[in-house]
Amino acid sequence: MLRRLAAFGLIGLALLGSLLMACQGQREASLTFYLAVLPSEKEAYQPLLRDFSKQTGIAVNLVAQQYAEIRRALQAEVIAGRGLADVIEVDVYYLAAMQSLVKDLMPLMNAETLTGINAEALEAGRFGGSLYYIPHRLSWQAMVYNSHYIENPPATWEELLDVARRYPGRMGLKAAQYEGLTCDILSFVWQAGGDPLRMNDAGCLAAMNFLAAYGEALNPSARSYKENSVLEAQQKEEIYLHFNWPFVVPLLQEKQLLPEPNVVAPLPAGPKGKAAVLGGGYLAISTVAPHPEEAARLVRFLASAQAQRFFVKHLGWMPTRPEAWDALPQEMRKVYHGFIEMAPHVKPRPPVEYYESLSRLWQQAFRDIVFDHKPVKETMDHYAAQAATLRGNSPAENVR
Amino acid sequence: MSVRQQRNWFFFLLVLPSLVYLLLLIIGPSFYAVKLALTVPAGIHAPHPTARFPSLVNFSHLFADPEFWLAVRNNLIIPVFSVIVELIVGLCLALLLSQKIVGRGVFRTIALLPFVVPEIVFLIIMKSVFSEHGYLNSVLETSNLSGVFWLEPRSLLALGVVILVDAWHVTPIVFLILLSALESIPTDIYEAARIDGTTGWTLFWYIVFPLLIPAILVAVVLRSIDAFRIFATPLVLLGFEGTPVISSYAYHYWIDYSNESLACCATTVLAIVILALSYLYVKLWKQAERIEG
Repeated sequence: MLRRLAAFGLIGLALLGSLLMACQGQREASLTFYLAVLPSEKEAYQPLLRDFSKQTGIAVNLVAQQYAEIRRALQAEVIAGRGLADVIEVDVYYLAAMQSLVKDLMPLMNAETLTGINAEALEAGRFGGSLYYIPHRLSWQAMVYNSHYIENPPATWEELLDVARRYPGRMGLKAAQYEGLTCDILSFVWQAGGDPLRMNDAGCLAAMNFLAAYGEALNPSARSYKENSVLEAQQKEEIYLHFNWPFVVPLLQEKQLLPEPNVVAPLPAGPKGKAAVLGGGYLAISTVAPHPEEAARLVRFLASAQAQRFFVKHLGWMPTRPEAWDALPQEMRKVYHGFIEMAPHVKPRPPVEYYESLSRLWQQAFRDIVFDHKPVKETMDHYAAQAATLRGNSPAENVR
Repeated sequence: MSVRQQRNWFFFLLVLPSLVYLLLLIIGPSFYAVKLALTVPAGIHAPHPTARFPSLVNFSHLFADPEFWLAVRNNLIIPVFSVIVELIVGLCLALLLSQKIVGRGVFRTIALLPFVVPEIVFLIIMKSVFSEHGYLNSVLETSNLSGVFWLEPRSLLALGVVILVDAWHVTPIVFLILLSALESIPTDIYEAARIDGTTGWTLFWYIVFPLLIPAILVAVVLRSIDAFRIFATPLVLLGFEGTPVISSYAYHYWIDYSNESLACCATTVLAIVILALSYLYVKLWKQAERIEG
């Protein structure tokens, strides 16, 4: 009797165990999402993911990382042939370089997801006819100036040069050797109608000639300025004007330095009009993602108008869908005016595989001309030859 | 198992945690860094199947870069001058605060403060002191003097500020080493010297200083090896561009260009220099001991 009871008990336990395991198997996957956000942004972002989990039953583990770290982690996972990351956010700067690490999203996206997204931004995620990235948040630069010293924001290059001559040593530019410098330079190149891939056409030369003149008024510390240090210099009134990304708005507001004395205005227009470099983060799915189907659902959700409105309202991010601007409170529209005005003039960086090397050439050319006072034409010819070599060595299939 | 074997096992077990730590967190990553330095990724598209190893291409790129040589120059100048300043100031402080003066304990604590404060906090304070609209220029301006651009990138003045700040931060270590050496000198020696009529500079130069030499050697060895690893001071005060040193050069390539190979190449060069220096010091040390013996 006792043996029979024990046998029934064991069978019962085994059945219960199998039932539990079966239930476990039916549970939705838990996604891992590598996102480049600050700790404060991570907190603000979580409610949106909770909404997604509520709607789909898919849990999302958000891992806050820097873009460079996300890139390294993904490279390691792809080399290993397996990994944790399902969805990753990629800096627009790395799109071409990381294309081999992420899935083609075309079969995973529907027309509804793609309709309404800023066309230029969407195009930046396309390589060789395939769509590897969906824009997550956009960003571009505007001009931050101190209204105590500069009454009216310079609207053209001539006006900018006037201001620079009036305040020698008080102009800022992110002139440290890094990608931020290229973003500052390329705006001027496009404003002059130059082609960044050529480096020595009439537009490029006009831009560099202008920067050579403008460089005379740069603060001597500009050589080491990056996004944060140039903002710090602006806060301390060591400089009165510089170009920066939207992240500066909440930081200046927090210190009560915006809307007074600092004001955000559009970038000055060059001979061929206005232009700004497209920045921001793009969503992609790792080629070794453990849950690609569920990852695609998350990407679709984050690209939706609902999510984009959330970003505008709660994180102050630029939306990928123009319709989402309506979520920006009226009083904030004034503060972001400079950025909003620049929206139609945003351009992505050249989508070439060798972009990182090209970017370095631009940085070196700028430093040769502005800091070492080398002649513009000869310097640009020298670097244009190197750019041509890069172009010649580049496999054509990686160029959009 | 004999008692001797048991004892050996016991000692081995005691050393084991440190060995594991060294292998996993120092030696392993160091070898990996050297491997990266000798690897050329084939293209921007990593992971690439045709990455080359071993190759000295990264080293040839490194040695062809004028920024690297500027970093090497600074990496030689800053430690040398910093250690000299630390020794002079540390010795003066030790001599002063070994005297029986009122409030000696308080002054000793104050002297230690720069080292007690976390490095990053100390450096941010220093940046506030030396920046264009910083405390030092405010003092100058209120005294009707014009402000000075202390932290102008690539200037000699900025290099001097980096040396001063670096020395200021670690002088307390030198001070502590020399103070303990001074306090271990038997008082009989001072008394005997005084009976012989030796005081002041003569007492210091002929009696105290020779007795301090072993402690000074310890301080020089410890500090100069450490000083070659300088990183945070120039980076926080001036950014990479201001006063590049080898480790900030490596950091720049790692963080701004995601170029691990070139970054590891620079740190490998730095490691070789430090290892060579350490070897030289050990040799000199042994020679000094042999002469003393």
